[in-house]
Amino acid sequence: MSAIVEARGLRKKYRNSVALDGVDFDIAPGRIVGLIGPNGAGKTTALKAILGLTTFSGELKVLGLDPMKQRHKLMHDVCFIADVAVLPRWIRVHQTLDFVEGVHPAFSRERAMHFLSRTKIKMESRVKELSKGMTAQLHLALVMAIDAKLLVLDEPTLGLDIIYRKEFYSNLLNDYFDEERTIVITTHQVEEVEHILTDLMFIKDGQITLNATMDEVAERFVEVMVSPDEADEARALNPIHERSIFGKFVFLYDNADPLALAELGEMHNPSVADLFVATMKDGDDA
Amino acid sequence: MSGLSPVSFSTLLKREFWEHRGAFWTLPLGIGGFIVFVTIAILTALATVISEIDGEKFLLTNAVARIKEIEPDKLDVLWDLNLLGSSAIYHLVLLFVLFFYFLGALYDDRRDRSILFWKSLPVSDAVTTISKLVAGSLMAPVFWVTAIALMHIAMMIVFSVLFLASDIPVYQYLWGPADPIRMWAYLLVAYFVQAFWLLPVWGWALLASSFARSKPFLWAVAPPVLIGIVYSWIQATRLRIDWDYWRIIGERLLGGAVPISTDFSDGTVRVGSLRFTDDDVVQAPATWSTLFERFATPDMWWGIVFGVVCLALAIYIRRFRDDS
Repeated sequence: MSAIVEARGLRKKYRNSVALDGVDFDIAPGRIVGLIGPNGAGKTTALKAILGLTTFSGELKVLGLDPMKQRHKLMHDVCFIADVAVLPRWIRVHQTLDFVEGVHPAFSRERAMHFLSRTKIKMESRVKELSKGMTAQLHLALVMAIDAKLLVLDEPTLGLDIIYRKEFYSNLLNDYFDEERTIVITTHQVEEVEHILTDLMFIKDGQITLNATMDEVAERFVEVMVSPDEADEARALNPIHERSIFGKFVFLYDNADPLALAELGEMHNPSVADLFVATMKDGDDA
Repeated sequence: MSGLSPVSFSTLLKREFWEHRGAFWTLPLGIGGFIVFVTIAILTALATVISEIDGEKFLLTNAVARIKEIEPDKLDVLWDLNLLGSSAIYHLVLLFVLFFYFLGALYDDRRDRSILFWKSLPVSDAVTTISKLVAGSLMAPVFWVTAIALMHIAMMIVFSVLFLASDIPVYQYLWGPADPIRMWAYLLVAYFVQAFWLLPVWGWALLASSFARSKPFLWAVAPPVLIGIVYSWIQATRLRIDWDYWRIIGERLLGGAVPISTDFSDGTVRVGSLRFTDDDVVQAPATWSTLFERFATPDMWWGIVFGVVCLALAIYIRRFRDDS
């Protein structure tokens, strides 16, 4: 099946920094991709380019369209939540439904009403009267009621409390996602999304440092807990990162021989957060 | 272009109304309420409190009865004047309201970042911008004329009561000669023409609204004022320019087709079909075509060209500028 997003040599320069330094990547249909990177690494620029909100050089096709030239056409099949605070504050809840219904042919009012019926949001309320969590629920209800092929979420749960964050992702997974749809998420709260991701993309200084499926990640990366007296032996196997915990060392390996590692100590899969920290640090040392 | 379907365009207009209900509808209703209230208050005061003016005995009903002294064929002019005169304040307020509406139209949603929500929907920036132009220059005046009509009806009821109390035949002196429906139709057509006359002003305001990273008012007002200062300075020297800058600006803002507009060409003030010269009321030919005469002037078309250029730039900036 053809890719939803195809980027070749995607490049974006701001006045005094390079946000994207000629990156290549594909996003296949039916995936949930986590785009993870430190602030200023270029994630938001990449998403903006995909959404036709910024100019760029290089090649980029989203659903076969040029996002810069055909933005409003693209928006028939692409939805995005930029962050929780972007719904206009003056608008009433029922007006958001009227508006999206009026301009979006693929919007189902019934679906939106169904999602909203599970919340405490009142139809007559203005957005400015809603809490941040409720605003996010409303935005998600609007977006989930649109039959789109690609959903882009840029820090969608920033500033929400934990209950809303968990619910946000479980709604997304249970009521929205299927093999026809593709979701791209950026977030700082990696640990909350890692169990729903199918693909992982790390971005750093405008470069993609990791682009793999979660299965590949599980195969490639192994953490081993080693007692101090075996630490030198472990270091000899070229770990990409080490940290100490409770007097023991934890070494992270990329594509190491599992048999050799098993002799050192207990093996397990690293969390995305640990993997992220390790790969980001790695570059700093170099 | 799918964004131009009638359904989504009417949704965009509705959106503007939701956001600006106060400026588009509540405000003109309020002005009407105020005019009617003040009229009733003054009449009540004249009828009850005041018994003499300048030492002479005063009775409101007697004063009102003097309408009988007016020649019958001048009564329609009297009521035209009354209806137009009471609507004058609306035209001036609407000019300010619309100027600020357009200054905010492409700026407010960038400031509160809701532009990212609007841009997540399949509507092009061109259609969005045009919907705002149409909402301000054509839709808002329809609401305002409706509010003016409601005020006229209320005022005519107040006058009817006054006439009945003063033993004046209401139909003969008021409802017969007055022709409010023609007046409202006239206002609607006048505002339609005015939308084109003011297109350069609205286009300029939209451009400032789209361009400014902050303070769109300053961006809109400072350049024409600075040009004016330079112009006046050059004029003050011996170097004469055959080009009256301030008159062009003044004529654009205060001229046009709506009532109480100034005709700079002969220095007369026009109230609708009526034309005031120094000493008398002169009735100009009250044909509908006089409203459209503006379209025959080069000023109108230069203005439209300027307005369209500003509009295109405003759309371009909104489309391609990355604000973050």
